[in-house]
Amino acid sequence: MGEIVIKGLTKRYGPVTAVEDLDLDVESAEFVTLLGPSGCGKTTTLRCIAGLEKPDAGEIVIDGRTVVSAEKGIFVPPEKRDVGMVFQSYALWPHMSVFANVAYPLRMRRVPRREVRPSVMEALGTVGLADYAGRPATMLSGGQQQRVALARALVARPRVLLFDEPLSNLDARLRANMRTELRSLRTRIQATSVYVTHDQVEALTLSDRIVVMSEGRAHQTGRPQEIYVRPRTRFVADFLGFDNVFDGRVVGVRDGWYDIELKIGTPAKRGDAGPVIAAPARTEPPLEVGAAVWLAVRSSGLSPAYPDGSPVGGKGGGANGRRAITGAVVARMYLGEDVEYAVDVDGHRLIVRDRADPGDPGDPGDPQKDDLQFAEGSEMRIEIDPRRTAVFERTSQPSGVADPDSLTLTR
Amino acid sequence: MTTASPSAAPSAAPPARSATATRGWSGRAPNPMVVALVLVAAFLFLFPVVMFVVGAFRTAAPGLPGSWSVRGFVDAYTSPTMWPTLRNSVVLSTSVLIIATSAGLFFAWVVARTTTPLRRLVTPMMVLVFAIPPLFFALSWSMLANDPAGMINKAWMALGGGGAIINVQSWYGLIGTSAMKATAAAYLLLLGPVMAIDRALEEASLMSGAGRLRTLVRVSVPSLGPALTGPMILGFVVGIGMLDMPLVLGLPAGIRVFPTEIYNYIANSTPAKYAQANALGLLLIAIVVVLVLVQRRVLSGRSFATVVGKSYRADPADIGWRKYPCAAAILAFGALALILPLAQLVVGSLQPYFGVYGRWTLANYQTVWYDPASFSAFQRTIVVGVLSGLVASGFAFAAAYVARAHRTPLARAPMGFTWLLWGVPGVTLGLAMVWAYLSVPGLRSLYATVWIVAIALIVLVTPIAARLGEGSIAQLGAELEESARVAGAGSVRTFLDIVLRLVLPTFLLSWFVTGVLAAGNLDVPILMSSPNNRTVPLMIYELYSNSSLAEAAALFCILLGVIAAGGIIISIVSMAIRRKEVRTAWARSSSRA
Ligand SMILES: Nc1ncnc2c1ncn2[C@@H]1O[C@H](COP(=O)(O)OP(=O)(O)OP(=O)(O)O)[C@@H](O)[C@H]1O
Ligand SMILES: [Mg+2]
Repeated sequence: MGEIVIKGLTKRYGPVTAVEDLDLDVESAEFVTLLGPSGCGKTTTLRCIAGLEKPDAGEIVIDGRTVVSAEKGIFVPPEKRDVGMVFQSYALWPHMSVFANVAYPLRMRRVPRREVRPSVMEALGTVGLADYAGRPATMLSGGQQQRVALARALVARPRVLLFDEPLSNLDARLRANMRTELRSLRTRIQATSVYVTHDQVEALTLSDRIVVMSEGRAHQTGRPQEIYVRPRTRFVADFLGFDNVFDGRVVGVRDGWYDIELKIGTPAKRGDAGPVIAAPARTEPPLEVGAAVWLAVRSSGLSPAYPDGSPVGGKGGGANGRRAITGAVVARMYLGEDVEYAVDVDGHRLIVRDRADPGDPGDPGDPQKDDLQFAEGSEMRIEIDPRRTAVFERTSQPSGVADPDSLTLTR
Repeated sequence: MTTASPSAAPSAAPPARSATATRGWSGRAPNPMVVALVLVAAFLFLFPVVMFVVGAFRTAAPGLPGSWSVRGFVDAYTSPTMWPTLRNSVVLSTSVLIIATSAGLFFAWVVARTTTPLRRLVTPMMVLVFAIPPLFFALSWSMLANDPAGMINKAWMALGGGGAIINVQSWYGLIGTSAMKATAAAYLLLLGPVMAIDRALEEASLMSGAGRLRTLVRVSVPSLGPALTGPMILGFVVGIGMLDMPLVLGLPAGIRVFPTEIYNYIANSTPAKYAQANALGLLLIAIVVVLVLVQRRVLSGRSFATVVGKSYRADPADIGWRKYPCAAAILAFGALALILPLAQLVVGSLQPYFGVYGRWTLANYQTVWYDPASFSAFQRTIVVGVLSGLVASGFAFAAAYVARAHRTPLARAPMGFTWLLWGVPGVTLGLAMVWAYLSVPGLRSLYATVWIVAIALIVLVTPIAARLGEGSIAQLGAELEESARVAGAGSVRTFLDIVLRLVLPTFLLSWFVTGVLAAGNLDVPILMSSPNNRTVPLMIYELYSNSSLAEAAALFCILLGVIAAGGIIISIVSMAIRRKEVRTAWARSSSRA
């Protein structure tokens, strides 16, 4: 119960198309996340499901009932859709107590007075705020307000729960806590959920399925691992942290793998134009030899090695001549657990991430000593882990990517 | 919002029908409530202005057959008094603008940014000065400075001075009292922006070596930028459109301004020269509308960098010995604007005849009390005040809400109309109402009743209610309503439970302020007067004109008492609402503990 079917959803604001021809099925009790950059239409989609916006085309069916259909002229107002929603700003009513806020959906559903109190207290108990029922809603911390908003969305046990970036106003620590709480909550309350975020960690940890959106369209729908490991488009890859993108060409197709010749780096074999890298062949449709491609690799999929081929740090594999390229370190950043290097290879900037070497814990060490393995200006050999690559057919315009550079550099 | 229930939708509609359905869908058939509101707004605000313009080109009085002509314009603008009048009006407005804006800014800065003693008195004082009718200042100051009967001159002579020391029936008196009134409005407009000035801007200036004063002049004031245009324009508009002060303080000194000229064309010419009055009034409306448009332009073009909602620190600074002159300024303003005038009115009302000291009597109050005319004038005034405030606030808040909820040009139109009339002078508005209601047969019966006065006052004060409504509705995040809708409340229920409840305190305030402004207004009723619709301010003015100053003072004291009683009632209601909230919250928490 509570399944949502969205067909051809389109919403325009004047000249702006916020959502374009979006199809999505959410199964009963499934938790689906809409993930995408700012302005890609996530909130608009959610508001169309809630009934807060009227789409220009398409239809939405909740639990077998068409709640909106532009073509048939059907529109069920939000109060008749039996959904619960957690707003980005929490939207608690400041003139009501916590209790009254949470009780409101029950009062609107004409639940008998006797049953209101236990239900409200149960919902508040679920979010750990049973002791705060009598407080004015304004006298709570941000995290508490957020949880009251959650209790209010849950209390009437709606078939569908909608979340619009509910954690975005919280600080990093509270956010991590709430993420864990939401996760345990979602196993307890079996409501169909649609969750909107632009934070990939949230999406990956909470969801059964993720829909990656851009410019009003769904780019890829899949389980978290699927999206994370096998992005289907360059845009999805960029958005999910494949921060190095190489131009290349397919030079060989073996079962399940492509051999891809890169445009940068020095060829290992005479006769090749560049280094040749193996990458899993998952493109749809399959590519032929000679196809121009992008090879995207996470910074963690690039391992540094000394120029002589000896490995460095925690994760370096054996030297593989055919997969390695060489460049000069131009900048490095110590991130605590990791070190990140910006490496210049034939005028291209690559980002390489390695585990930081904690050194010998017993050694008091020289405070001036630099524990990072590569100094700026030193030469680095980079090995590519074929399992952390993704291949896309190269088009003139990377679809959905407004400015590939900015996406490559921000994570 | 147009809604269609699923069952009402034909599942297999013929193509033609579904096509129209789709068009209606995307075209958003206008909501009936929006249409109703637009029609009411057009009738209230647009129709009188249109009739007023029409009237400027008619040869006859409103409602009478006449012909088209530009005589009115020719006569009015070629009259030998035209240029002195224009000059006087500009001098008055400009002076009021300069004084009111600087004084308002000064007091706002003292209150928001310094530890000056008495600073907490300023806001209540300014609210009083804003709400008290302008006639109060005109009347009481003309009495205070009366030669030889006024308190000031009496005191001066008691101290051994020879002759009168001041004369307010002069340029100084006219400008001073008008500016006092406008200062209150300027202060109330500026307090928010001054409080919101980003301290970082000032600190950066101090760090770079500029002194406090230089920082104030070079950084703080300019950073207010567009926020300053509001009080400036308001000051000008008050100065150019006000009738009662020039009537009482200016005309005796031979200072004619546009509003007094308009009044003269109607009241002191036989037959009344409507076309001429309208022609002059049109000029006033044009000036005001242009100013308001310019201001809106300025405001929309520049962002209120200083007034964004981000957190700011505004801890007041100790300005050393300078705070004592500032406190003295507060005292001086309070004395000039409230204490002295009020004392003079009370004293004057207790004198058997104005200027007779030493024999106190309640005779004036008895006269007023037993006079059926003044008794019914009070009844009328209370009805007009309560009703006008309520209707104006109700309309303004509804218009502000609809404009935000629907976001279509049509839904924004009612708010736009209120901007159109923002600052349109009371005399011209009174005249416009006469034109509008006398020209339509069915409405003609309203003329000479109290209802046309009430409607005109509603039109006059709605723009003020609209500013308050706009502000408080804008503060309501749309998500507060949306969450109620999702929680299962229909649109009406949401409006009652959430919107109305949250704006109620501001609504009550708006009701009170606009009610007082309506009840105390002289400019509008003075052009519609008939024996059956006189309100108290009009009676006071008539008593004043007949030199029955003591009785006028008594009437005024009673009016102020009634207003104060209204204020107390509104405060009690507001407090009760707040208390109830707290009590329910407390009861719930204790029942849980
Ligand atoms: N009320 C509106 N009027 C006009 N344009 C709008 C409105 N609401 C959204 N848009 C536009 O529609 C597009 C999608 O907006 P939407 O709010 O759905 O984005 P989002 O994915 O939720 O972004 P974010 O992560 O920043 O919240 C944006 O380009 C936005 O500017
Ligand atoms: Mg959003």
